[in-house]
Amino acid sequence: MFTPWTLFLVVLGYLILLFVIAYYAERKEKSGRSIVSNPYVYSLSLAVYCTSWTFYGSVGKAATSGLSFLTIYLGPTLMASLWWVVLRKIIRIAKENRITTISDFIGSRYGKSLFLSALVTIVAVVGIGPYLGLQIKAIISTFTILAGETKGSIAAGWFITLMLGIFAIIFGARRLDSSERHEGLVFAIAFESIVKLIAFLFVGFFVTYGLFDGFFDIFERIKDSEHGDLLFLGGGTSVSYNEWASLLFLSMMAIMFLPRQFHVAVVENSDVSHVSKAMWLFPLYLFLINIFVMPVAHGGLLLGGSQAEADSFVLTIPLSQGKSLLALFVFIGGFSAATAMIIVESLAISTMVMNNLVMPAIYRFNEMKGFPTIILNLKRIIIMGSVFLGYFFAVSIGEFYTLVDMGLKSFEAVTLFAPAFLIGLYWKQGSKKGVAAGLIAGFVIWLYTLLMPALLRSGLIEEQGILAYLVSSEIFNPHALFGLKGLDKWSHSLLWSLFFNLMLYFGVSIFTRQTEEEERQALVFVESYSPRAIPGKGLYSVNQVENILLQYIGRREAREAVENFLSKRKIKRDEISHRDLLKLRDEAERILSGALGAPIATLILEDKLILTKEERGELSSSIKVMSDSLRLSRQELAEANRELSFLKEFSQNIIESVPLGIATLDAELNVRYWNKEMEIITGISKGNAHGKPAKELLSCMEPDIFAGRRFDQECACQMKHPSQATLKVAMSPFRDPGGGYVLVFEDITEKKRMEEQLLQASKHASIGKLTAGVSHEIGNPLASISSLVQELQAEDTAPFVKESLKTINQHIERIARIVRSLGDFARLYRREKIPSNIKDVLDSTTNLTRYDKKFNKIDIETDIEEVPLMKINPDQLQQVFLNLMLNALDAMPDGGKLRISIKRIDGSVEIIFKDTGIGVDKEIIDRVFDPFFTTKGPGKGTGLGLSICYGIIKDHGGTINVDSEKGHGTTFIIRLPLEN
Amino acid sequence: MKRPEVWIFLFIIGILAFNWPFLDIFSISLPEYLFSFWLVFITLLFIFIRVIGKKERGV
Repeated sequence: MFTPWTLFLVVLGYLILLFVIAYYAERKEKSGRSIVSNPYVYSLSLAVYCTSWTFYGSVGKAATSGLSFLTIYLGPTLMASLWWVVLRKIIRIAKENRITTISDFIGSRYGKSLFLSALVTIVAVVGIGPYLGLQIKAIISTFTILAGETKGSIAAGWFITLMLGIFAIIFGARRLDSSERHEGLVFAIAFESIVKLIAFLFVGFFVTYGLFDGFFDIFERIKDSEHGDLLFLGGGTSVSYNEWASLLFLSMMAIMFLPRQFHVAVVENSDVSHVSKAMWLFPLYLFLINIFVMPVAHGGLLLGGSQAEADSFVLTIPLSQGKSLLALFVFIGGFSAATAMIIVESLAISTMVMNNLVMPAIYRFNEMKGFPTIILNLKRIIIMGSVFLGYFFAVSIGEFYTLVDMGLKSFEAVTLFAPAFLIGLYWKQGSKKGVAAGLIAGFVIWLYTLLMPALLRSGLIEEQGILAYLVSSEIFNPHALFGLKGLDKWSHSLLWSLFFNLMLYFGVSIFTRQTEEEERQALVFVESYSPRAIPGKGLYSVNQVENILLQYIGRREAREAVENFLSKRKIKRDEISHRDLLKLRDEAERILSGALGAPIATLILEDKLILTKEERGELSSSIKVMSDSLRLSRQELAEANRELSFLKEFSQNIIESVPLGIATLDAELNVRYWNKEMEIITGISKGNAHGKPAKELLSCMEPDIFAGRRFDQECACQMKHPSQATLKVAMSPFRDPGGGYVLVFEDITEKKRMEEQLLQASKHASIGKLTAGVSHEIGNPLASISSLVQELQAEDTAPFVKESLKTINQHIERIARIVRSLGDFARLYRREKIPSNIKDVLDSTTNLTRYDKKFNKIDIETDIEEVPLMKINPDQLQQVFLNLMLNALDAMPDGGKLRISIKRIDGSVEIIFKDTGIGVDKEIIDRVFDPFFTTKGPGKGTGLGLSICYGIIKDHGGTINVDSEKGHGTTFIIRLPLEN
Repeated sequence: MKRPEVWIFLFIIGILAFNWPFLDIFSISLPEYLFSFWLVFITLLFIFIRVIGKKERGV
């Protein structure tokens, strides 16, 4: 045990240490080497969440209700996973608008409503005040336990409260601007977070491993004891799953909306990037500080402690084991937990009270001498008042409540802010009236279902009159509102308060109209919109702004603020533009928001707005003209947009319908557009072509065209067509600032084929005329010569003459055959066509060859299908077939096989002559149908046979093609249209 | 990885894991389950923050 004086000196020493630490941090900040602006200190400062409730109350809760104490830490852990989305947005908005409290945040969101800010402040003060008191109660109680007597505890409590108030004033309210960060305060809070964590780990380790054999030993023992149900949840235990879920939800809201949490997480945040590290560091801190809660609670019970005294197990166990120094360290840990909460919470609440309840009443007295000092001192008084209000609660009603019970009531109270705050961040239609209705309804239910029963139980109010009637009625029973039974008190209160809060928030918001200011603020908060210079605002000169500021924050501060603004933008006081004046006004509003709250700042600047009646009239006319011209511009823009859409569609239809392949390429020759015809020509779909290099897609094109050396070419490409297609390509530079090309593809395969046919036909026509003349001119004299030679042969002449005449006659016969062939070639176009069976024509031709000895070595195979009658010239076709068979004979001097087939294919008849002869070179295959071209030796062929065949088949409207390879035989393919 | 969706997904996993019916499923050793999953959840937060942080820095 320690004497009260010893303890008092220890506490005093610790407080002095806190002062030194905070002072050191501020000195560092002033020297430009901040030790606070980092994510680790930020994360530790968030641990102000862990109050004496965590330090003492969690053990008490674990000893009485089992695992439910964990919800208070699991909820913030879950909520931390959303900080990337939610908290970062809140910080950005708060920094942009110099928002310093949660009441300011909600008030600003809904049109800078002073009423809403005041309402939130009242809810926060009523909800948090008693909780603040219980922290002081925890200090006094633990002081008493450690001192072993009550004497001096109350006095120590009073003194400690005073010291905490002074600390909060020195490190939280030295200046008026609440948006200014308090590095000394934050560093002290972070230090206290470390102290309380180490102290709890020490006592936890001592109990778990010093008094028992570890976790499993304690759990096994407690399982076998009468308190075995502490390890379970749900049916048959003291905590239902409903209660578990409700507590989890309440703690998720508490970490966001408790005023002290808002202060450390948002106002004291120096860099929004610190949030990311805090997202896992803070939950890790909560995990560590809770590891030994169950072992300490269960250990206390196993050592004979009662559940009623479980709140103080962390102190009483070391004391009972004679570990006084450990107990003293634990006391310091608990003291740290309580003082951190008291300091930050009182600072946050006092700022809310000052900005939203006090300032609206006094801000019009700004003409009073020393007004800024008065405001600052008022704020200090309010801080001290908040701390001593806690002291009042501690000594008056503290004995009636447990730490957990009062803490949860506070959690329920701040959960009332959730709909307005969270939904307001993402839903623009939420209105001031909706928030007010929901908040008031929720607060009334909170008062009726949670606070009033507690006050009745403590005897502070008596159950009589109308109150007695209400409490005992079926419908208005505060524990079973509207007859709803079966819920624990936290779930019951949460259900009804949240239900009415949400219904009224949405309902009223949907059915009422927002003011212009509400709409503007909704944009600022939901869309993170930063309002630029807004013409409707009142304009002040630089001096006027400075004068306004000095009335509220002091002459030196006002001058500094204005000078900072001007120097940052490198503007001279007398050369400031209209736009910069508007920005200066916004800056002034932000500074005043930081010091006095956003609603008051707006009121102050609006009050100062001086416009004459004429000026107001001019302003109104200007706005009307501007809005009219804006409306016209919008109409014109919409019309132009429609026309543009039509033109775009029209031009696209043209490009898609034209029978030309069109593609556009960018400067790097990658495909940007690919029309439908391109898909048909190339077989490549738009999707597959887009973005690909044209060189890859159109590899058949010569590289010259892509190198820009040529802009048109004809190329044979193996595209979608079964055979090669001949394409005409034109490429021209694109008239676009970004560069690029337009490629136009035309399929000219058919055109080229027609041209070739025309050329061949004209060749034949010319040669036909020539041969007709030649055969006539040579034929007549040759007939005379032949008859004379025959007459001479009949004469009895010398043997030499006889032999010579025989030779002459043979040559004459040969010349006559040639002349007849020429005559036949010339007469091709003059023969008539009659309906005939092509099979009969082929049969008669093959019959002719059967009697020719030369065909003995040739094996002729036929494969003939039935085909309809065709209008043909049978003699001419017989000549064609015979020519082809004779050619085959010549190509197979040592014998071979000739296969002849007739097939009907679609609308034509295909006749194929395929031999196994010597074949034809690829180089000359294109010339075999040319007149006088022959591969036979001199005197063996006229070179007219195949040319005659070609002419005959063309005359029948058909085609004849040859396919051959040297050494692998030759195939002639004749196609005749059936309409013949 | 789209950031808001990732965090909302993680949040929903946490909500489900720390409520009925999972609490009922693991009721035999509830303290072990709660503390183990708590640690897993913190680890997931740490990993996600690292991955997203790297993406933001363009690493």
